[in-house]
Parts: sequence; structure tokens; C-alpha cells
Amino acid sequence: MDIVAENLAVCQICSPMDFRLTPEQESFRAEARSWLRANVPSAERGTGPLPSLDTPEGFEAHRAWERRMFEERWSVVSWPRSYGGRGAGLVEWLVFEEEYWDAGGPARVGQNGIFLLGPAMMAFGTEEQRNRFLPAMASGEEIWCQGWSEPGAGSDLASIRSVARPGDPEGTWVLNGLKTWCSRGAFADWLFGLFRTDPSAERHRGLTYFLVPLDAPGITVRPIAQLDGEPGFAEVFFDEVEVPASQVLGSVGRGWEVAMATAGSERGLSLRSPGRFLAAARRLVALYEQVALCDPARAERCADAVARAWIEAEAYRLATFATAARVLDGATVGPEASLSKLAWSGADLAVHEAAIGLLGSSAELLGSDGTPDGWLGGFLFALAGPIYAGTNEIQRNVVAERVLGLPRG
Amino acid sequence: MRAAFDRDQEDFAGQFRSFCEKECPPSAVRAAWTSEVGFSRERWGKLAELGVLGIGVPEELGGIGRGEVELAALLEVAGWAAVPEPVLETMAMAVPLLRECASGPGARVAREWLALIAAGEAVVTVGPEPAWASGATGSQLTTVLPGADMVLVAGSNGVVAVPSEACGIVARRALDGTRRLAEVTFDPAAATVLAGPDEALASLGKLADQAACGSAALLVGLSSRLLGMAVEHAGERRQFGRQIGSFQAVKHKLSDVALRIELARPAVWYAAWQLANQGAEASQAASVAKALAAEAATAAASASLQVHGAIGYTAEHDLHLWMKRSWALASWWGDAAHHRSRVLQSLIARTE
Ligand SMILES: Cc1cc2nc3c(=O)[nH]c(=O)nc-3n(C[C@H](O)[C@H](O)[C@H](O)COP(=O)(O)OP(=O)(O)OC[C@H]3O[C@@H](n4cnc5c(N)ncnc54)[C@H](O)[C@@H]3O)c2cc1C
Repeated sequence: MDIVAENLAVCQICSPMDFRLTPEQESFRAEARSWLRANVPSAERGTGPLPSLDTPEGFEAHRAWERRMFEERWSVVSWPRSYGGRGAGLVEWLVFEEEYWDAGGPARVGQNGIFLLGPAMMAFGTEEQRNRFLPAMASGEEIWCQGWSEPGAGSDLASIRSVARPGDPEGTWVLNGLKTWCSRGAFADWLFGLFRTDPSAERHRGLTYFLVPLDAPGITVRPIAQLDGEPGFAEVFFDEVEVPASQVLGSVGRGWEVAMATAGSERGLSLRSPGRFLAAARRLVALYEQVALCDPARAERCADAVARAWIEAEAYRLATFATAARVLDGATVGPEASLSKLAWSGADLAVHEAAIGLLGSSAELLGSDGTPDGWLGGFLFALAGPIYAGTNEIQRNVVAERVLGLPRG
Repeated sequence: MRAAFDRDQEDFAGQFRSFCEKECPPSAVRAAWTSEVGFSRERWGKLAELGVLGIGVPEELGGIGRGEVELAALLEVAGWAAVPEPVLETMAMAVPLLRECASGPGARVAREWLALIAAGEAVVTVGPEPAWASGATGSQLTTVLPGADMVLVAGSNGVVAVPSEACGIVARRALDGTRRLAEVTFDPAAATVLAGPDEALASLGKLADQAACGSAALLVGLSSRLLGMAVEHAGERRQFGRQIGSFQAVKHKLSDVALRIELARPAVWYAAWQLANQGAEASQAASVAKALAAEAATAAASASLQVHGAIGYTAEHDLHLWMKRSWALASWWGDAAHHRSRVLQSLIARTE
């Protein structure tokens, strides 16, 4: 830690507990709120809701929304101004997220880029890479997908078999193999992923992190329908795909380290901030009130589940503020990120299960466009929470071994 | 925005923890079980010397004049050590109630007792009036009797102070040997009115919130000790040629407890901060904290018992001292389900 950061941390530690925002943070909130209220795609203004982002039109509509936010510097508020952000702090970012989801903002089609790759690129990328990729990532011009999993490598990510071998001219690479479960891969522009560059090294060592355009010769993308019937996944085949040295992120053979930094963002604060779950929990309470009017007996049966779900979302919000305070005091979030992941995935499921309970037998009905929307769509997505970003079983292993210190094995 | 203790608060909690390690080891908790009143008057005096008892008492009455945030930090430590002294009753309930009454009709008496508490010379407990009790606490019994010097009886008719020698007491023993419960009757002539029926309702609401937040803080401390004992045991005990903590069934059980604790603790801080600042969400936040902490503690107790196996099922092992306190406090002044329903009611009221 440098001297300035250290002094800052010391001041932080001397200031008392306070859950209020500063006046500057409040005015940031007000500014975000009024912009979002005026601009979020909405039925009233005839601009929304956007079609599902797992369709070609929906994907482009979501991309246009990212562009709109970027124009006014709302797409990546916590990034430096030079890449299109506002240089906002951690608390401001959490506040922005609360406002975004409260205003009914659409799913972020650029999320893998802005929340996962972006932070890794700021930490590990060259100046050239940051200038080349970050602004286009922030504006939605280039949408990224994540290429980690393979048919034979899920939880055991280090067992991946897709390979990269040195190409000609020297410094270039040639990629071969298969990546799967790439979210939004069906329509995305670029992929970041891990490939084995040294088959003889220890399995975590010989990996390298590559950035690959999905229209490169030798790439075949096969969309896969998810539980909701839409092509939310893709399989990506690599057949002699040539990649220049400028598209390696971090050092050759150090891909695992870069990937783990990205995984920390995915599990911890940045991919799934509390705002999203709080907004859903608030909608759940409103649903409960509606049901209480027409079917009080059902509402009564579901009351405890509703309260429990709202409390879980609120608890995650408060725990996140506690994590933010530790970060501002100078700590880094290590394996504790696994606790966050368990918390948000649990809260999301609790909220949606309670909603499905309130809806009773009408929960199975599809929306007017024939897809599961609203609570049912949210419920299907919540079911994925304990699987992606490292399954919850893996997170429990991490908590047990690296937070509690239980023996490995 | 800062969801953390400051350095002074951390330091004070740290001092209290060192005090507990020395003055209140498990053997002391065990000794309290068989003592006459369920706690130690001597340690009560030492708690006053350390400034713990006076944390919420105004400075001009010999206290430290701090609020619920500092109190929460201390109560978590008290839970961690399973301190048998009635810190919940006196520090988290009687002191705020007396503070509320320090400008009312019973100001003189209230101030006198606040000073006695800070000096370590008085043990004060709070008893709910039976008619009001069932809704708020689920119990019509009062704790710490006959060891208390005074009982504050709170109900919708007001708050009165009754010296315990003027009380009729039918003692009831509880599973946790430090918890001395009693049915109380008293002669109204012996009681000093601290708050009349008009002020009483507000005071009672706050009392219930203080009890919820205070018991939640204790429960977080109890849970973290229960988890700590289980982790320690799982690292030592070997079966099938390996440490039992290397079995995934054990790991996942304990990770789940860790998660519950990590979620309950900041909720307690938020409730304490709301109470300290008379925030609009104080009641709701206190119920959120209690709902989370009560379930964290009962989950910690079950998991820790299971991980210990038969040794944990004995009265010889210390585990039961923490388990039994957890079970009792989990439902004292409202169990998790009670507090969840309070949260839902307040959320609905807000949208109306
Ligand atoms: C909606 C969604 C989006 C996704 N998006 C992407 C993406 O964009 N890019 C990408 O690369 N991947 C993505 N994934 C894939 C995801 O990362 C994997 O599903 C995940 O890592 C688990 O791998 P797996 O599915 O092969 O399950 P497996 O690893 O085969 O696990 C199956 C079951 O076994 C359990 N298990 C495995 N190992 C252990 C162990 N050591 N201890 C205890 N239990 C264990 C798991 O917890 C799980 O319950 C996505 C998945 C979903 C559901």
C-alpha cells in the first residue's frame, strides 16, 4: 500500500460507524436516479421492456442501451474517466447499482466484459490493451463472453484441455479446442478464455489467458438453449485459430492468476451487487400485498417465506457495506468472496421461490411472447445462481478451507 | 457510509475480550451454574471497573455515555465468552429504559439507579407485565431473580421500579443453569412509577427493540464461539485415519454456519446504529438482526453438536454451556419467526 492509501485507511479506521451517505454520495444518488428514471427503457415511454437478450433483436436492443448509458458515463461509473467511467468509489458504485435495479434497468448484456474482464484488464493488461479494449467494452461496441468451461472441465477448471501452441511468426499463437456454456456467446463479439500453453507444466501453471474475436477464422459458434428455451449459452469450437501476442492478457503461463482475479469479481462484489436482489425483494413484498387482497389464505401461508427472503436480501446489502468498509480500510477481499457468492445466490433463490409460492398454479404461465418472463423467468435464472461463478459446493469448500482453516482433502 | 467499528470501539471490545479470557473462562461459566444466583457479584464489580457496565450510562452519572453501537460490540464479546452476568437485562434493557425515564416522573430514582449500575453496585432486571408479555417476549417470566436488586416492570400501564425484596418471587430453573427465571408479583405501594401509561407505549416499543438487538448481538458472539469450538474439534479429532474436518460433509455444515454469522453480524451493527440514532428503521432493523442471529445461533448449536459427536452430548464438555444459552436467547424477547413477521408488517406499513 502506498503512503497516501495508508493514510486514507488510517483516517477511515478513526471514523465512527455511520450508515448514512455523505452529502456528495446523496447527490450522486439523486443524479443517477433522475437520469435512470428518465432513460431506462419502460413501457410507459414506449421504449421497453427490451426483448430477451438471448434473441438477435434483443441482444442488439440491449447493446443500444449500453451505448446510451455510456454516452452519459453511466455504464461503468467506477472506472477511470479515461475509459469512459466517472472514477466513482466503491460506495457510489453500490448506490448506482441500487438505483439501476430499482429503476427497473435491463440485464447488462456487457456484464462479462465490464464486471469481470474489465477489472482483470486494469490489473494485468498493458496500457495498449486497456486503451484498445476498455472503452469499446464500456460502450457495448464489443460484447465479451467468458470461455472457461469445457465439456471435461467444470468445477475442476484447471483440468482444461483446449490448447494454444506457438505460431508463425514468432509471438503469435494457434488455438485449438472447445469451450462451452459461454453465456451470451451466441451473439457476442469477443471471448476471453484460458488455454493450455505448456502441457508439461503443473496443471495450474501451464495456462494462458487469451482474448479472441469470435469472427476469427477457425471459430465455430453453436448456440445452446437454456432452461427458458432461449440460446443463452454457446459452445465455441477452435480449429487452428491464429491469435497475435497482443491478445494475451498477463504473462504466458500465468493465466490461472489472472483468471482467479476475474473469479473473485464474479463471486464477490462486482458481478452481483445487492441492489439487484433488494429491488427483487421489494417487488416480492408488493406481490405479497396484491395476493393478500385476492387470496389472503395463500398470502398467509407464504408470509414467512416472503419475510425470510426480504431479510436475506437486506442482510446481503448490509454485509456488502461491511465488506466495502474493510476494502476502504485497506484490506483485500480474498476467499471471503465465496461467502458473498453463497449469500447472493441464496437470497435470489429465496426471493424467487417465495414469489412462485405466492403465484401458486399461475406461476407456470408463459408471457405474451411465449417465453417465461417476470417471476418465472427470474426463478429459472435464480436456479442457475448456485451453479455458475463456481458452484456453491465449491464455494463451501473454499470457505471451509480458506476462511475457517479446516484441513484440505 | 462506514459499516465498521472505529478504532476506539475495536480497542474497547478487544480489552473486554482479554478480560473475559482471564476472568470468565469456561470454568467460571460452569461455576456460575451452581452458584446461588447464577452469576458472580465479584465479576460484576470488575465489569463496572472496566467501564463495561457503564457504557450506556451518561457521563454525569459515572458512566461512559456511549450508545448502542458500542454496546453491540461489547455484547458480542459477552456472548462469545458466555458471560453469566445479566448484561442483556441490565446493560441492554434496564439502562436504555432508565435513560428514557430519566426526565419523567421517576427521574430521581432512574438517575440514582443508573449511577448504581455504572458503579457495579446494582443489578437491575426488566420484567414484562404478563398481559403485555406474551406478544412481545413469548414469556411471562423475568430473568435474574432472585439475584437482582431491582426489577423494572414494563407494561402498557407504565413502567415501574420495584426493589426485589418487595417482590413475591416464584423461582423457575431453566436448562441453562445461569438463567434464573421467576414469576413476579409485587405490591403496587412498593413501586415507583417511572413512566405513566402515556409515555409507556413508546418506551415499551423501544424496550422490545433494545432486547431484540441486544440478544442478537449476544447470539452472534455465542454462534462464533460455537463455530470456533467445532472448527477446533474438527481439526483435532481423527477417524478413518484423517482429521474429521477434512470430510466434506463436515466442511459444508460449518461453512453454512459461517455464512449465517457473517450475515447476522452487520445486521446487528445496523440495528444498533439505527437505535443509537433513533432512526426510522430502528424497529425493523432490530427484528432483522434478531431473526438472523437467532437462526445463526440455533444452526451453530446443532452443527457444533453434530461435529463434536458424543463428547458434545455430555455435560462434562463445555459445548453445552454455549448451546443452552443460544437456545434460550434465540426465543427470548421474540423468536426468529416472530421477528420475521414484524419485519413483514413494517414493510407493508411502509408501502401504504
Ligand atoms: C447460467 C450459467 C451460465 C454460465 N456461464 C458460463 C460462461 O459464461 N462461461 C463459462 O466458462 N462457464 C459458464 N458456466 C459454466 C459454469 O462455470 C459451470 O457450470 C460450473 O463451473 C460447474 O461446472 P459443471 O457444470 O461442469 O459441473 P460439475 O463440475 O460437473 O459439477 C456437478 C456437480 O458436482 C458438484 N461437485 C463438483 N466437484 C465437487 C467438489 N470438489 N466438491 C463437491 N461437489 C462437487 C458440483 O458442485 C455440482 O453440484 C455457466 C453456467 C451456468 C449454469
